[in-house]
Amino acid sequence: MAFGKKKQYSPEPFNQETAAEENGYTEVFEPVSEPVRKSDYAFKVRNLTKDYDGNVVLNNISFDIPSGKIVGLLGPNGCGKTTLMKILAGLIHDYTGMVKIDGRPIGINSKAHVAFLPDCTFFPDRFRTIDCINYYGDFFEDFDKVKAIEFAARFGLDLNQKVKTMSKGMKEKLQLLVVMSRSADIYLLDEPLGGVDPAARSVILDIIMSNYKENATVVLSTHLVNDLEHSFDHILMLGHGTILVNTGIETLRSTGKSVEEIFKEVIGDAWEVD
Amino acid sequence: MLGKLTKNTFKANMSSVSNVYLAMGIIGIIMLGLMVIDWTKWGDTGIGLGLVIKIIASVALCLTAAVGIIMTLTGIIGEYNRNMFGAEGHLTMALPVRSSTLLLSKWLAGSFWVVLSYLVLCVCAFGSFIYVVKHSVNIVQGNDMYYSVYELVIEMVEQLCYSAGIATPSVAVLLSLASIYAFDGAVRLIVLVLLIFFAITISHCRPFHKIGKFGKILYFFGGFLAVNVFSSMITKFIKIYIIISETNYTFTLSSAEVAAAWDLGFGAYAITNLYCTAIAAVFVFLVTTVLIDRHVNVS
Repeated sequence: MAFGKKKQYSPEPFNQETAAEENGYTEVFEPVSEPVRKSDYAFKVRNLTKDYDGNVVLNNISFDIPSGKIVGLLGPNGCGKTTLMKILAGLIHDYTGMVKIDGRPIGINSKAHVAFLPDCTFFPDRFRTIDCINYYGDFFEDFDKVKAIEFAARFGLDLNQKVKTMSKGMKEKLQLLVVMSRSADIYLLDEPLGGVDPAARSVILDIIMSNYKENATVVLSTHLVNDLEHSFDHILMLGHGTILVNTGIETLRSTGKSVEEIFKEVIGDAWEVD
Repeated sequence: MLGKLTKNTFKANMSSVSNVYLAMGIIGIIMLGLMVIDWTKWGDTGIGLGLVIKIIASVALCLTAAVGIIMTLTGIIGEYNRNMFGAEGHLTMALPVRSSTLLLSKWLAGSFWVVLSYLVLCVCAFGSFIYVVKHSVNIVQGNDMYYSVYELVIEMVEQLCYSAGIATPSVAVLLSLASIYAFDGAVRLIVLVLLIFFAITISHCRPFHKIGKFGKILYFFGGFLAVNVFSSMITKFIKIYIIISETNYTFTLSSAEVAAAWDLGFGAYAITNLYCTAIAAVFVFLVTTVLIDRHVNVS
C-alpha cells in the first residue's frame, strides 16, 4: 500500500469494531456511563470525524483514556496523530463529534490544563530564550520559571540567544523545556524526539519522564516505538482513520510480543513505508 | 490577559513595522534637508531649480508617509496571519484566553500603529502645505504684497466658503471641524484593520479557504462593501448632524438647522455614517470572534 501518497481512504474496511475483532488488541469500545469523578478519564472522545477536503483522517472514532497514564499515540504517517493532538489542544475546530478533556469541553478551561508541544517551531524568530520563558510565565499560571531556566542551562541554551539563530534541535529543546516546566494535568507531546540526535534523546526522555506533574496524563506521539515502549502505560494506535489498538501496556505484554512487533503486525504495509 | 496580549502584539507589530519607520525617518530627513537648504547660495534665484526640488521634496515626504500607512498595514496583516494561523498559532491558539480577548488585543495594537502612521501622514501633509504656503508668501513678498502664512490660509478658507455660499467659520470652529474629520479618518482606519482581520480569519475557515490567497482580498472587499452598504442605508433614513459653534456642540436631525448653522459661520458634520460604521464594526468583531472560536484551523 502506498501510504505516502495522498489518497482518500475508504472507511468501510477499517470499521473500528471490525478492526478490533481482527487485531485482537483493541478493547472494543463500549459506551461508558459518566465517570464517578470528573477526572477518571483524561480524554473522552465520541464519534470524532475530521476530514481535509474530503480526505477522511479520523473516521468516527470513539475512545476513552484513563487519567494518570503515559499514553503512546502510535501510527504511520498521515494516520491522524497530529490532527488528533491538535483537536485535543483546541487548534482545530471543524470536526464533528464530542471531545472532552478531564470532563471539560475544549475551551479556555481545558487549554489552561493542557500543555501542548507541537511538531513545529512556534516561537517567533525575534524571541530570545528568556522571552519564551517569560511568555509562558505570563499566560500559564502553572508555569515554573525557575525550573525553565534550570532546564535551559541543562540543555546549554543561552538565555539571550534569539530563536532565529538556533538550530532545529535547539528550538525543539527550547519548546520542550517550556512545556515541561508547566504543572499541567495533561501533556500532549507531538513527536518530541523527532528532530534531536540519538545522544540527546535519553536526556529529553528523562526530562519528560521525571518532570511531568504527578497523576498527570502524558500523550506521546512518536515513530520511535523502540525508544519509548518501556515508558508507556497505555497504547493508542491509529491507522486508516480509525483506532486499531487501544489498550493498557500489560494487556499487550501478556501476548509475549513487544510494542514494536505489535505495531508492525497491526499497521502492516504502512510500517514498511515509514 | 488583555494587557499582556496587547503588549506582546504591540512588540510583534513594532518588530514588523520598525524597518518601515526607519526608512520613513531616513527619507524624511533627506527631504527635510532638501527643503531647508538655501538654494540661492547655489546660484538659484528662488523660483528655479531650488523651488522645484523643494516642492518635489515636500510631495515625496507626503508620499513616503502614505506608503508608510500601506507598509504598516502590510506588516500588521503578516503578523496577524503568522501569529494566529501560521506556526506561531500553535502557541497563540493554545493560550487559555477568550478569542474575543485575543482579537481585541490584535485590534488595539494594530490600530495603534495604523493610526500612528496616519497621524504621521497628517503631520507631513499639513507641514508640507504650510511650507508650500510659506514659500508662496516669499514669492508674493517679492511683489510688495505682504501676507503672513496664517492670513494666507484664512484667505484661502474664505474663498472656499464664498464659493460654497456659506459664511466663513471662526478659527476655533475650523479647528474643531478639522479635529472631527481627523477623528473620522482614524475611526475608519481602525474599522479597516478589523475588516482585514475578519477577511484573514474567514479565509482560514472551511469552505471559504478553498479560494486561496485571492479569497482574503475578496472577503475584505465583501466585508467593506457590507459595512458601507449598511451605513449608507441607515444614513438614508436617519441623518444626525453635529453642529459646532465656538462654545458648544449640539445635535440635530434637521437639514434646515444645518444650513442655517453654515450661514451663521458655524460648522456641521453628519455623524450617522460614522456611528453606523462603528455599529457594523462591533458586529464584524463578534462574527470574527465566533469564527476563531468555532471554525478556524491552525495549519
